Order: sequence, then C-alpha cells, then structure tokens
Amino acid sequence: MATSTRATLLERLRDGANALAWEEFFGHYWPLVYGFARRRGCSEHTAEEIVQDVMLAVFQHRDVYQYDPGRGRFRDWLGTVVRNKVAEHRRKPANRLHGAGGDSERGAVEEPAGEEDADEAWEAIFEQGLLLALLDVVRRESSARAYLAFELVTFEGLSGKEAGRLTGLSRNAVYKASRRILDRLVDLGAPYREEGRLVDRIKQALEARPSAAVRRSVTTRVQQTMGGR
Amino acid sequence: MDVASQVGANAGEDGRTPPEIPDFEMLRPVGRGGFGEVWLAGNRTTGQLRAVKLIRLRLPGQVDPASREIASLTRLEAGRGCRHPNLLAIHHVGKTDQYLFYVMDPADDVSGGPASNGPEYRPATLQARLEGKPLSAEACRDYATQLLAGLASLHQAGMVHRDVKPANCLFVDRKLKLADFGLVTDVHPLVSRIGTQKYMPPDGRMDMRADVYAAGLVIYEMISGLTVDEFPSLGPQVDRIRNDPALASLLQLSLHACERQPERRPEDARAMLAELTSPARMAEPSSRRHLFAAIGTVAVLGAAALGSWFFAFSHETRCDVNFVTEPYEARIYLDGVLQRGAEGNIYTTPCTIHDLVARRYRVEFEYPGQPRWQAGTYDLARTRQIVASPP
Repeated sequence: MATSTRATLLERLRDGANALAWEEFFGHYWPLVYGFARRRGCSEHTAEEIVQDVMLAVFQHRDVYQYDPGRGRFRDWLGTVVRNKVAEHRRKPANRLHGAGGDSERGAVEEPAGEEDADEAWEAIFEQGLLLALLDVVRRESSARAYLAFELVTFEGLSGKEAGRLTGLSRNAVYKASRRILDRLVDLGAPYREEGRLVDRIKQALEARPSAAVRRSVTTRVQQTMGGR
Repeated sequence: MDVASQVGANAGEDGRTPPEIPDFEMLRPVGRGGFGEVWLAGNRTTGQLRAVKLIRLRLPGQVDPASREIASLTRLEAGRGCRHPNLLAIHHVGKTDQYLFYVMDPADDVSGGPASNGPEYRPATLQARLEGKPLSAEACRDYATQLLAGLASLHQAGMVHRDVKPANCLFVDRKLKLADFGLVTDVHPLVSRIGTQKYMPPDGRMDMRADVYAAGLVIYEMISGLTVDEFPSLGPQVDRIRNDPALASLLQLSLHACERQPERRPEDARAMLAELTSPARMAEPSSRRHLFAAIGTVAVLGAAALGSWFFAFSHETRCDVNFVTEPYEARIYLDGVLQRGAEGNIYTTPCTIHDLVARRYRVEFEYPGQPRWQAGTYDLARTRQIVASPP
C-alpha cells in the first residue's frame, strides 16, 4: 500500500530509462496532480497541462530528490512542485485574461480558487489517493467477479440478485464476497473505521476520480512529452 | 509495437532522414514501439500505400530484436493462422543493411475513411476508437467476434500472440485485424513473460489462456469505455450495461476470460469465441453452471454403461466448427441445408456452429442476392475451422 512513497520506486525513478518505474509513478500520481489542479479552480485542459508539466519537472529533477526520511516526505516535495506549477499557470497572461469568468475555447482558465488553503487541498487530495490505493489493494486481492459484486452492492446500491445476474455469481456468493471484501477494506483502513465513514469517503474519492476520457487524454499527452526522453 | 502511439511527422527512429527501403518511398512514421517503427509508405511502382514496419538489426546493449521478430514471422508463415481475415496480412519481409522490414496493409484512417498520405492521417486502431467512450453493444460484439476469430486461428495453429491489446487491433477496410506478430511464439510451457504488462494475467504464464485473459480485458474496455487499470469496475456505465442483455453477456464473458486461476478461463480463443456465440449458456450464473456440470458429471458416469451400449449403435461424435469467409456475412449450407440457430436465426460468417455431427459435409456459402458457391467437402471430424473466399 502506498501510504508513503516507497524508497525503491524513488530510487528506480532516478534511472530515467526505467520505463516501468515511470509508468508506476505516473499511474499513481497523475490523478492527484490533476485532482489538485481542478480543486484549485483550473479547467480540465489546464489541469492536463499541469500534469504534463509536473511529470516533466519530476523527470528533470529526478536526481534532486533523494529518499531520506530525515529530509521530509516526497509527498511534500511533490506538493511544492505541483503548487508552483499551478501558480505559474495562474500568472500566464492568457489565463489572467480569462481568469474572471467561465471557460475559454480551449478551457485554459483559472477560476478563482475557493476558500480552501492550498496545503489543505493537497492533503485532502492525497488522502483520496490513499483511499483509492486501499481499494486497489482489495481489488488486486480479489477475483474480478467478487470485486465487481462488492462494488455493485456497496457503492452502486444494487441488490444481491441484480449483482449476481451481472457477475454470474449466486446471490449468496455476492453477499459473502461483499462482506469479505468490505471487512478487508475496513481492516486496511483502520484509521477511518472509528469514524464509521470509510465507505462514504471512498465513494467521494471514486466520484472525484478523473473520467476515462481525461485519463486517456492525459496519458497520451504525457506519453508524447516523455516519449523521446 | 503500439501502432497507435503517434510520432512526429518526417522524423525517423533516429530523428533524421527517412530510411531507405527497396521499392518503397517512406512517407512518414505513424507508430512507434519498443523495437521499431511503422511507416506509411508508397510503393514506387504501383503507388499503393502500405505500412512498413522497421526493426533495427542491431541495438546497442539490447537483445537482438530483429532475430526474435524473424523467428516470429517464420513461425507465423509456417502456421496456417497467418492467412486469417482477422490477422493483419504481411505481404513481404526483407532486410537492408540496417533494418528488418515487413510490408503490411495500412490501417484505415481513424475517421473511418481509407488510409491516406495526408498529414491528418491517423491509423484506425481499437484504442483510437475507444478514446474514453464505450462502444455500442453491436460494435462490441462485432469486434469481439473478429478479435477472437483472428486469435483463434493463431491458437489453432499452435501459436500464442502475447501482446493482445486495443492498440494492436487495427481496422483495414473496416474489418478488425489483430496486428503486431513480433512476440508470436509457439505454445510452450516455458514461454517467457513478455508483452504489455497491464494485459498480462496475474499468474504470469504467457500461454493461450494468457491471450484469452488479454482478450477479456479488451472486451471490458469496449463495453465500459474505461481503461484496464479500472477492471472490473463499471464506473458510470453500470446502468447501461445492466439494462442491455448483450452488454451484460459480454461482461460475463470478460469476467470468465479474466479469472485469476488460468484453469477457470476458456482454454483458448476458440472456446471463448464459442462462448461468445452461445449467449444462452452465458446467462446462467456460474455457480449454477458448476452445479449443472456436477450433475452432468454424475449423470455421465451413471450413464457410462448405457453410453457404451449406445455407442455400439451410433458413432455420432459432436463438434463445434468455425466458419469464416472473406468478406463476412455469408450464409452457410451443409449438404444443402441452410444452417439456423436454435431460435431460427440464420447463421452468417464469421460464426461457430455448435454440436454438429462430426462427419463429411458438402459446405456451401451464399451472400444475399448472389448465387450459392461451393467451398468444398470437409470432414468435420478433422476440421474445426473452415475458411473460404468466393470464387
């Protein structure tokens, strides 16, 4: 589970040619960067540009950050990079021109950020990332049928019978799988258990997740930027 | 090779001038992967547009990618699978001082039109068609059938593809063609783990069932519009899928193909294709299927004596046979009888007809409004796939 950025990943990232490490890094962090930019009032288009810029900045500075718990967390270092990139986009003349109102044609707009402090926003986005990582753990541990049954019952509110029809499981198997996976999730997310809101928090994180269209667009954009490096 | 990943125009693998390939004018690169590039090229004699894949003969510090590619192409040419209408045809293989190259049909343009030399040309791949949107139920079923028919022909020839993914499904003349045979190899227990990581099964074995697993993920992407990272979540498509029996049935096929334990997946693409074309079987919950299977096993054991008695009077063995024509949509006649499904619907190619008596048949095909034509006489005890083109 990615509660802290693993030293091995950071070490592997220092090798710019390690495509798998970069793919892992990109897969884990781009939704956070994108989510933060959106939360800070950026349009979809600008948020995609910021993801691209951040990935490139991390690539270019891969030697600068070295894993050392005494020097601070990678999350904070990355948060600084992301905040700076958002600020850079705010300062762009084109964006300032559109800054007061709605989206421009290309969506390169910086709507005024809300009351939320940038640090709070980054922490909140990071927490959502952790919750989705928990979900990812149980997804990988479970069979596809069982996990889908769990999602359909727990997050979509489908009946056991309907989830069974879609997954090919019996109603009893749907309930058993859902219970087992939920127990495991609660087990992993112990800090949230006391609040009793784990499922709600995960649902919020799922809703905040970038759409498939954005995912594909960002992936293509970053592949094009990083492809030749 | 990810044919969909675009690279800048007029920039070769080395970022300089287009490579020299005999008989072809290399127009521009249209795809790039780990071991080579695909260029749009014009035949200097006929002017025909082709796609030419280039693999460097020597790459410093790497395994020799060309020798592996040559081995794959040799296998493919030796196998019967290389001539299937759902496999991208390779017209010519050659070498220059620097490159191994092979010449293929170019993919249609992503807009649906034919390939062109225009700067806006982008090869039509399944990946490009997806673009974050799910496909219609009809398109999902059609593409799944074509993908599995192509893959089944490789499996039937004893080969595995090892890199099934949307980016390797091209459209040529609006037909889906499985492409990129650079990793094709013989089925062998020690087949190495190679290919695109996200489409690899968790057990790590890269055999026919691994191709089945990857095909299951491709079907998932088509019905959900989501990426494999999100499998098996349905995201915003839950209601659409649950309210459409065709999509729900494809979801179950995908879940079956992506079982964690390989032995629980369809054994190969032929079995998966058979499952796709047999929706009634799909509608049953798997636990019920297992129950039926258990009852069936007991019944079979109990009836063994009766069966041996029956066998003395009847030698009928049943089989499932694929029928594929180029072009598709031909009706099928066996010994002059038009083939219909259980619900009276007429079978048209490509399809699998189940439970046929395994004996010799005169096989004919017919396109609507055209005369019936004979494909030949086939012994279905020995043939599991009939591929034919009109005379």
